[in-house]
Amino acid sequence: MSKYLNLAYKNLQRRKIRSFLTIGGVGVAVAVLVSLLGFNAGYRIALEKDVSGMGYQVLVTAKGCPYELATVALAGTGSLRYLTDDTVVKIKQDKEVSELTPMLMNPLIKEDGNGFYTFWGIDKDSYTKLRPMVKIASDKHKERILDPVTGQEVDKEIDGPMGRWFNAHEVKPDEIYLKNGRVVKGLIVGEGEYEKVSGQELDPVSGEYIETKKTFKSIKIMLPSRIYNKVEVESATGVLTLKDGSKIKGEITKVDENMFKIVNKDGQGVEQINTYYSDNVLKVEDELSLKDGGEVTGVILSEAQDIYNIGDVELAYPNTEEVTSDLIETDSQGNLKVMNNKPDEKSVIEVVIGWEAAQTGFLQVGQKMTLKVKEMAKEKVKQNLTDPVSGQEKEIEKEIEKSVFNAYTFKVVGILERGGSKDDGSYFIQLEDAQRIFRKYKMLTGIGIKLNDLAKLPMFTDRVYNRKELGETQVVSLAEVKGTILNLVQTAKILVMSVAFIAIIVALIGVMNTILMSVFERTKEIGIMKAIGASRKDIFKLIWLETIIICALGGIAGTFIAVFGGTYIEKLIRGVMSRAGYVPAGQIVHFTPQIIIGCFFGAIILGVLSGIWPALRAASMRPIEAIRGGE
Amino acid sequence: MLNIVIKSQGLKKIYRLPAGDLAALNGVDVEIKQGEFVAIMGPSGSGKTTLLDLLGCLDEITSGSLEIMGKEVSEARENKLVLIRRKNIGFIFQEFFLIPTLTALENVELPLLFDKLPENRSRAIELLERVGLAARINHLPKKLSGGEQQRVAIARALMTSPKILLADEPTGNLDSKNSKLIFNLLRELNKEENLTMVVVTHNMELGNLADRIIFLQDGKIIPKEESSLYH
Ligand SMILES: Nc1ncnc2c1ncn2[C@@H]1O[C@H](COP(=O)(O)OP(=O)(O)OP(=O)(O)O)[C@@H](O)[C@H]1O
Ligand SMILES: [Mg+2]
Repeated sequence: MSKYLNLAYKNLQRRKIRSFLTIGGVGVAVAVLVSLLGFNAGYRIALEKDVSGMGYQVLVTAKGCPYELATVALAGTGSLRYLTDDTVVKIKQDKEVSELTPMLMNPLIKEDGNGFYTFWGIDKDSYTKLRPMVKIASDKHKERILDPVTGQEVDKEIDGPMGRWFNAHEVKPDEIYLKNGRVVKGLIVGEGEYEKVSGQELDPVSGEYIETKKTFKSIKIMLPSRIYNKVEVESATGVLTLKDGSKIKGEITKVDENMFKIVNKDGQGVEQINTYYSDNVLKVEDELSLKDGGEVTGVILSEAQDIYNIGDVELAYPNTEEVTSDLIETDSQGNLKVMNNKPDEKSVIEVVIGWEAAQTGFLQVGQKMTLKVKEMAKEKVKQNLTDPVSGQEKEIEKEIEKSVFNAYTFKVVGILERGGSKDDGSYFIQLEDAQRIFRKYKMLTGIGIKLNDLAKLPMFTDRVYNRKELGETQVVSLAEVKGTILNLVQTAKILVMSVAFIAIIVALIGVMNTILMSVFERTKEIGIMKAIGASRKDIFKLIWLETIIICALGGIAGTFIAVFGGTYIEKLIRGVMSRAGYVPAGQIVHFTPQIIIGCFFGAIILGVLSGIWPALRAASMRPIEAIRGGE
Repeated sequence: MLNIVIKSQGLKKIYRLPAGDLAALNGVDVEIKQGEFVAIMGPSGSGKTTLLDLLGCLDEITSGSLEIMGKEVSEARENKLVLIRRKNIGFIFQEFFLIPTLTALENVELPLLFDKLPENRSRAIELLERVGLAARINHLPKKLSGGEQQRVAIARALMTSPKILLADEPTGNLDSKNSKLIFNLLRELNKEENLTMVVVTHNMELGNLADRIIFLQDGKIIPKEESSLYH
């Protein structure tokens, strides 16, 4: 056998470049296969690890496409949709809910434009209860502290917990005091001007009454997102309880899907009920009964936010409103009574960061960092234009969008233990802080839930969907998320596997071609071997062996390429996949010995298969024709 | 006692061509005894190579009978022929036909590989020494002269200790000096080992060194006097 090997090996050496290229071809095909199988194995493991690392089993989000939701659930990226944070209270009422935690995820684009910081606004207590695996690391580390003697910041070596969680603190909404005594609470996001008809005036020239207009200052305020509620009742009398305790009794009529009307029967004045910009919660009490004596099917109304006119409740997007200065109370100096509780330059937001965020950002406990949050703002600009008809210059006003940066100072108060998940690269701040600085007033991207009994998930899901007041919510179990992602990846995998399959077929044809060529080139030699005693079997064996050697060497080369290039392959797949959405945090290309051994033997099988035909051709050559005709 | 190692009767090889049948050999009767040194001569196209190929079991016979070492082979097909060839026959060609990737020694050893015989390096070296190439055993064919290559080929043919050595114009590619040397070597081997030798040659001088000459013309054996070569 070793003699055959020697002979085969020497033959391959004869055309070094050709053999090398063929081996390379097989190598690439095998490398692709090894990587794909490695990816196949690794992706599932990484995904499973991510899913089990979530801590909660169910996620409630705003309605969206399932894959997007999965992406948001696992990676915190994708196009975001929001829930209002009172959904938490409502979901908590469900008997099956054991624990839950509200979350607001917000990606913050890095200043250099490369990637983003993933910020999570969380409620520390419920979050750490549901996700005990997310905890403060403990190790030898340096902390930046204030030296009590010199008053200077110094780095101190400490062996122990790496800081702490952020302290819970109150984050006040902005407030606008209305003349009617109500307070509009929300998030002030801009200022503008507003023109309103203020009255009528007699025009001395024409002698007619004309409207006088007055410009008011307007303040844009973000109110909690309103949910589209569906009114199922045609008409009913009921009581609306406002958050501040006052009640409105009246007849409720459906105007359309998104609007209903309460006609105040008690004749209370406009002033009294005009809670134009109130964030009070309207609630239809249980005593609500239908006018016709029937029952109410599915009560809505609980999320109504604005009362435009007396008795009118409208539920609508978008959620920024402008309050004009004529509605706002003024103090003794004539200033508008508005409280803007925006964090100032000096206020510092406590942040707990993931292990990798600390490593890559060279951050340690006690250190401060400033981040700029980009916002789009509208600005009115005046422009001179020449009228094409009259040829006259005209001044027009145009609204343009420009980006505004708000700088915030964060102080790292804790560093998390490495968990091998997306948490490692995340930044955690108090939920209200996140809602404030990312301008997502009272909004959430999701609520993580742990059920008492996971088996009752379908019932829980049904109940959530049946509660109209929850609006457009979606319940996703992480098992589903996993399934969705695996499904998606499966489709991609089938595609990629077909590519690998084609690569293998091409390699097979390549090998066959190479060997056939070398067989034809050596026709005479084969004839000679037959003349000096080689049987068909001997020749077959020799040629077959050559093919198998090529493929075995290709197999070894391919495995080496895959294993040693594994980190690059990982990076490549990660890069491609992250473009499409979620990629698990753990290693996604994982080579098991089975894969490597399997692929190596696969390459040999490739050799066995592709060698048969050329070997048969060689073996069946008649000696005489091979010798005489091979010229 | 002189045994008959090759015996043919009415040996025919007919090539079926589009233009019609071509009888390369048209009824050849030969008897060659053990230890005989026979030369085959004849004009180009007379069927010398064809005859040698048939005697050497390299090709299938169209009709007639052929006994090699007392065994009838005329009915045998390729897979049978190879066994007879392996056991009894050594070949030498005009173009030497060494395997270019193998050294002289490896070329000589090659037949053992196919015969499933145990390795026998000492015999291979002995044979190379016998043909006067003791100093060249690890050379690749391209580093050897024509005469040397032919001697390697002779050593290779002898490796399996065949009873019969068939040589098709073994000196055809060599100059007269080397031709003479090779021919003498064959003659010596024939004498020393009692090896039956059938050699095709165009060279009458060399042919005359043989025990006898078989003249071929148009696929048939003709008497010496009738051969055009003789005149
Ligand atoms: N494979 C073949 N197919 C058809 N005809 C063939 C074949 N091989 C040989 N022949 C023909 O058979 C005849 C005998 O050929 P052969 O090679 O035996 O002659 P030769 O005596 O060896 O000639 P040379 O001295 O030129 O080598 C020739 O006419 C040749 O053309
Ligand atoms: Mg010839």
